[in-house]
Amino acid sequence: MVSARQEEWTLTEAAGLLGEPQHRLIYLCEKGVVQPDLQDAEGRGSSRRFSARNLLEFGVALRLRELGIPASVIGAVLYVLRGFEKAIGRNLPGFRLPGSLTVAGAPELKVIIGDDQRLYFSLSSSKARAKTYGGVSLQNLVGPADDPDRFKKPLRGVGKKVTQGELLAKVEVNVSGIAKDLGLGA
Amino acid sequence: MVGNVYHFLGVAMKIEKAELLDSSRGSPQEGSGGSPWSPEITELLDHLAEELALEYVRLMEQAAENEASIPNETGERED
Repeated sequence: MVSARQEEWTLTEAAGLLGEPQHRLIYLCEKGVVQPDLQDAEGRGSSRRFSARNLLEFGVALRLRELGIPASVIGAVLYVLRGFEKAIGRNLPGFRLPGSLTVAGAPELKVIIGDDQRLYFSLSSSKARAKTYGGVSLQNLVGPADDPDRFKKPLRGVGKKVTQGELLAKVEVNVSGIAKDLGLGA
Repeated sequence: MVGNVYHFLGVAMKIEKAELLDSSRGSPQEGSGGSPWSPEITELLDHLAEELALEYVRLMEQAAENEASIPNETGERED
């Protein structure tokens, strides 16, 4: 948990909050997956400073990395999340990631990688069943064939019987849950 | 995609709506706007973010309406 008044975090603080070694966060920054909102490293002696949104991005990115998702696909996920925040902000000016995802009654946002090797997002609420959006082919998000960041091994399937026309989720990451776990409330 | 059944951890859930964005239109290449994807893919991701935002706002409005329709402690509905 963090202080509700804290608005920026150093690399050390971010790594401590996320319970991850600093080099994993540095890797995501150097890959351009997470771009420090407040200050990027620009040489010896400079330090990165991160926003609450960055911490959510790290949380989502680290979870997807654990599941074997390439950095380029994670970059696409975070790109959509940033666009999502910006678009909502036009209708709900106070909307901010990650705090607004943690308020009571807020819809639950998930990232899904389907068995069909496509990227989806889902939104659900206590009153409405999940609606799923997307379907962007992962092959169009990863680098060229010689990119070492391509899938190193097949994603593990979790479903049992699938008939034609059904979608089998291989990876599901709850963005709202990560926001709540980080304690980065509104 | 509409009406597809989605499975996760052995639990089948009905997908009410899934807008399949056909990303086969663009081949992976360096985008001109600084993103690592083709302009077509960047456009698809932008569209996806907009669609998610619209649905999020709709769900928030729905939640607010539901809350307003619940009688308060004196049995009156809030307008």
